[in-house]
Amino acid sequence: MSVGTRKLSLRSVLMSIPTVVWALLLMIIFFARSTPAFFTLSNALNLFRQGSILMTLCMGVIVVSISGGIELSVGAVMTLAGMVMAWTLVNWQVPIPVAMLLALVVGAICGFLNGIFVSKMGIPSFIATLGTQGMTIGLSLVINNGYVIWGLPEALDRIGNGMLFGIPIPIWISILAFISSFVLLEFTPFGTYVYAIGGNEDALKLAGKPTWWYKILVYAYAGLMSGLAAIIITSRNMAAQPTVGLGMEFEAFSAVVLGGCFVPGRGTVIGTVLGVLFILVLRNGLNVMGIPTYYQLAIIGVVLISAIIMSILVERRLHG
Amino acid sequence: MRIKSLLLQFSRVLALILLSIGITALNPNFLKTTNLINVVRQASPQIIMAVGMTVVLLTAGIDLSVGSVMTLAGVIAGYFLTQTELPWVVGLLAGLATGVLSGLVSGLMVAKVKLPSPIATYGMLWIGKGLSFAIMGASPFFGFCDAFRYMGRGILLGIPVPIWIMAFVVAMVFLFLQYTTLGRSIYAVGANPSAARASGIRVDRTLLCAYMLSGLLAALAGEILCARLNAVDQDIGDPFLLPAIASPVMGGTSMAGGEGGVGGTVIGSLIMVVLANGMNLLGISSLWQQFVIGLVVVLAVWFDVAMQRRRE
Repeated sequence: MSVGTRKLSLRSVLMSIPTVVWALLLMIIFFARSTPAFFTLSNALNLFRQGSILMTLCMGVIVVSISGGIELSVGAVMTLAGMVMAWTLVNWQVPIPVAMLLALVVGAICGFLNGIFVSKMGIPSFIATLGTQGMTIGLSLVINNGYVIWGLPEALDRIGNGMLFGIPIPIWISILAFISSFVLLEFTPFGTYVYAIGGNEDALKLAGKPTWWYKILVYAYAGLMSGLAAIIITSRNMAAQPTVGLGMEFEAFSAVVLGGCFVPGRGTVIGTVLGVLFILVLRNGLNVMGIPTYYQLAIIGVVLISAIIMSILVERRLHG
Repeated sequence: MRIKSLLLQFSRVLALILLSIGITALNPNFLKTTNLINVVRQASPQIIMAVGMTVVLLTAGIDLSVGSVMTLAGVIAGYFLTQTELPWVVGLLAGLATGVLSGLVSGLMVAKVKLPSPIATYGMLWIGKGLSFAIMGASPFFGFCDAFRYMGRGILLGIPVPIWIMAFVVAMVFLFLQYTTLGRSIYAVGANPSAARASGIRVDRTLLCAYMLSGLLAALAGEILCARLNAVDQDIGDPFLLPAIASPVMGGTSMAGGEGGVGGTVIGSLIMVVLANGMNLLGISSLWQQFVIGLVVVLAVWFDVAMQRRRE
């Protein structure tokens, strides 16, 4: 964020901090005071490890959202990638690295498909990804007749539940996803194009760039991230469920919006990380406080939706 | 232009007929009266929801919450039916009121807060899910009284009650859209909101009506389904969203708003239902149906988008 000749006042710095940071701080204080178990290192580590899946998914969704799209299929694509990975491991005994690569490839292909629907066929992104969601869930069900796939090789457990330098591997994977998206959006020409497509696609087209191709790549990248998330969840569970990803797209969507991306062309990876943290802290805090699961969904849903609406309204007030 | 749209509508009916002929050729059981009545009966909730979705689509919006409203209405009705001693009518009406209320909230978010309808109704979807889960918890409600179950299992003059209800809904909404001022305003608002506003139409009120109607019909469909199943479960309405979108779009109701109608939606719904029944009769695993429905949605919308582009 360039400051230029603008006077740096405390007020301008405070106003530039996204609202979600304040909300996050408030929430952390609230939970820390309600339950002592919340503010511990082991709980924090737990939080990040459980949240590594959502974080990875969001690293893909943010790129789509900046380009102006809505990605509703990330959960389902992750499920399918996980099913394919598990199926090949159990039935064809492929080496684990190959299965992991397969998960990435499946994710990328589904993303590619989304990209074609949106970019070449002109289908609105929310319908395209809704349709892909249905199709990938359908395929996930068909692969093993609706049953969970068990009996994955022991070595996989070392990835899902193992540590590296004292930090769980899933957290490392989500850090990898973060670095990937951060570098992509902030330091590569492609990143600039993504922002341009969100902000003013026609200008980019007039400049002679193949926006249709970039759009396809954007969705393919999100699919790749979904595949990466599939690796985490499959290795952690040591199983592949055809229903495991359901609902994650809502949290991913909320995290991205909370992180500051409510209009195309705006939004940052860091903001998204904060948005994900908001959701993770909310989820974790409610758990530690012992609130029964069936109230959690309602509370989380209401909180997220009000937060989204408020963010959008505040944004409109501030920037017109 | 009218000839063109009539031809298009005719081609959809033709597609339905050809599909039916094709299926019958592969499995003659399809044309048996019992099968056909069964098919239409099973499709009644879906058709009712598709009609509600049609109204919203006509305003150039979309209602992504219909699946979860369906579940929620069933949960609320189930709650009153099994957890209280109140007469069953209370449960019935409470469920319908839930649908209207959720439509009201969605409509307010779209009309007043000016949220894009996919986002507003997507939020409503999750509110509905959260409420369903909070009210019902992990144990589904079941065992409803016979009077309520008549809605799903009764037979009147040889025809199952759900079909009667569906026919009534289709007729009423058709008349509403064609012959009432509010109905015509729905078309106007979808086709060109600013022109509609300029000509004195209360756009906000029209939008609210559209979403409330969609919510009401989703609730009705949910109650019929639960009456038939004699139970309500958490995500009972989820599989109904995609067909509810595909049917009107395949039937000629454009996502751009302002064109289409109930007749086309019925044809679109029948095509989807016949397709599903055909797949069952041909022994294709029902697990494939999710895949097919997703594919159909994408193709139907693609066709709609392509047609709209041609116009420009």
